[in-house]
Amino acid sequence: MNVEAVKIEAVKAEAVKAGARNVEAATVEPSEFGKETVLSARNLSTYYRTKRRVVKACEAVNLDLYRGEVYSLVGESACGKSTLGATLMNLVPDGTEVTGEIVFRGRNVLTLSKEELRRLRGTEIALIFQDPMTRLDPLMTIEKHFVEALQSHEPISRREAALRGARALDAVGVPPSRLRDYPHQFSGGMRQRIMIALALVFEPVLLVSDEATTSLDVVVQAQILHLMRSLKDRYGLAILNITHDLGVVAEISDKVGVMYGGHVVEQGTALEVFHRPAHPYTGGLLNSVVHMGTTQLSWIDGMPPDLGSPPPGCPYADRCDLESAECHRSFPPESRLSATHRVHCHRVAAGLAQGRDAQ
Amino acid sequence: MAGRGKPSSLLNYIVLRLLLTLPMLFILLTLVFVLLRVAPGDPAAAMLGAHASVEVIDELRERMGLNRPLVVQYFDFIGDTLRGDLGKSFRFEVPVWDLVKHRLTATLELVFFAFLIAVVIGLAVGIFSANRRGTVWDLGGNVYGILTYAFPIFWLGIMCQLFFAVKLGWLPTSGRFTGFLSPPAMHTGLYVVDSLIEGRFDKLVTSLRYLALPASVLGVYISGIFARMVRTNMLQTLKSDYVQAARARGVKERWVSLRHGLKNALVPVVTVLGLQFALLLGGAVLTETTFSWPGLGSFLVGRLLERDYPAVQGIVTVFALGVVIMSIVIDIVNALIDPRIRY
Repeated sequence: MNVEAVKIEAVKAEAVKAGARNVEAATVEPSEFGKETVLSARNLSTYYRTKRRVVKACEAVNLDLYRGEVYSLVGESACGKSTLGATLMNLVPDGTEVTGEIVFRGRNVLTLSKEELRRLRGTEIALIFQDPMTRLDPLMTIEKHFVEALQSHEPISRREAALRGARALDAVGVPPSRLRDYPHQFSGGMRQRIMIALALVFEPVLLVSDEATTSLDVVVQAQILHLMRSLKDRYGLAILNITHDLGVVAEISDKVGVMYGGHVVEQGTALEVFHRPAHPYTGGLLNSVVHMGTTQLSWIDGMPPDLGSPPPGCPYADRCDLESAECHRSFPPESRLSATHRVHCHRVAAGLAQGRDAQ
Repeated sequence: MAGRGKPSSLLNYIVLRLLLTLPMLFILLTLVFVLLRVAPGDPAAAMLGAHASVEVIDELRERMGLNRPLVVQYFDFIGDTLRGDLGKSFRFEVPVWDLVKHRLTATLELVFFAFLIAVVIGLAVGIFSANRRGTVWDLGGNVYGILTYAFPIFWLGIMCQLFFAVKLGWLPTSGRFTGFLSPPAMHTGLYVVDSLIEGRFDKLVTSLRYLALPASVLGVYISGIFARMVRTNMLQTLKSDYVQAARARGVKERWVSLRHGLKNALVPVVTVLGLQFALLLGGAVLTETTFSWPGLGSFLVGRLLERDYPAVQGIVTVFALGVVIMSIVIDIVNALIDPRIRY
């Protein structure tokens, strides 16, 4: 049945190619804040070097984040999502090899000095993490976390910093009266709210959320997602949302990127990726989602490739039902299905070429 | 759950800790009593020498109360100790406490200053190494830690005496105070403090000059272990999630390292530090002997050789109290550092 599903997706993909021009017209919706680019990554690769091998966690990634837009990065575990998020803030361990270009509001993040980078972090780019239970210093009150963060970036008195902390807590639904409490006195959902308040106290331009809702229960998850959405609308925040929860993606995303084996294999608007997936992996991923009414589980056979020795061709070739000899030889080029919808797949490329020949 | 750890909860905690130490003390006193009686050797024979006749020895045993049944001796000892009476020394025939208090304060003064030096050096080297992990500086810090620990302390002491006292003549070789001045009157027993109370600057300088070598040697010796402990624990905390999160907020690196890294590393370090302090009350024998420092450790060794039961029992009781007090201090300090310990 898995084969069936992918075939259906492939048919859908064919349809997209046929009507590529129409799709283009339909999907470009002007954002409320115009199309101000906040961050763009070009040909970005991140390699972890260990003594014995090189792990290519992230390979030749291109992506653009715009103001007031939520870009969701999805994919299985160990496909490079979190690495990409950390790389965008240049928050990778020493000795990691990062090549390519990350331009954040006109500055190349990769060439900034340590101090310039520090000034950028927190104030303009904020990061929230998967496990809020371990992300706050257990020996510090919440107030001290705020004071420390604020005083790291601007000359501000303790009192004033605490006041701003109280306001930030209020904005995310934590009673400001609890400013003097310690992290262990809060629940997981509350701690994630505190993390978000800490991230947003400077009114950053870009929020990177690395699986921020994964460890929370569904009710709290919905609350946090709603919060992120409203903050986006209110401040024109750009949000890079890294997750493997497709439900979350559908909930809040404007754009979606699908990562596999270190590559962003397909990206486009949420509409494009969800309703007209072009890459077989995207199709498989969408079919694996369990709905109310699902009577039979569907999955993709196999495991993601070991990024320590990636295959020479398409990383998905070994699991793909539509693979050809070419798929094992070379990594597929980028095919543009619309201004926003791009995919790396030999089949799609071949289909597009055929379409052009036909004209 | 609301509100920060209230002072009353800290107080409860301290009271509980104190109550828990009572059975511990009791067991310790019993152990000392039994071990001394089980060990070979007789106090009367030891004092009178090899040529004394059996009658004379027996008469002395009678006078010392050693001919009474062991059970009676034991309950006398426990009862006296509970009343704060450590008994009379066999050898000196004066109350044990009068003998011990001078030695104890001498040791306290030595160990306190040694600790001051060890903490300063240990923290500095440890933090420095942790922040420069894997560099030449870090390697240097590690070598320092291993070398200071590996040197025999008496050898280090003798070398320092040779160099600073004999060759350069900057400091006295040994002893606690000069014979040309009378030591400051006893208030606290710490010469440095007593000199200040007396208001005698010359006595203060003299005390410090005599303290300098033994305290430095002992301090350097302990500082190596501290440095390594600080480094290891800090490397651990610097890897933690909240440190990464703080860096992601752009918190100044100095604050990340000290407020998050160091402070979280302190709980285990304080624990070992405190126990080390308690240990040194009796364990500074080598340093005390090398520098002829009239401390408790060397005094204990002398009394052990003479089988001076009351003196040994008294000294051990004082040590036990020292350990108990130190472990309470450790717990309080840790509870102040970590709010999760207060319950």
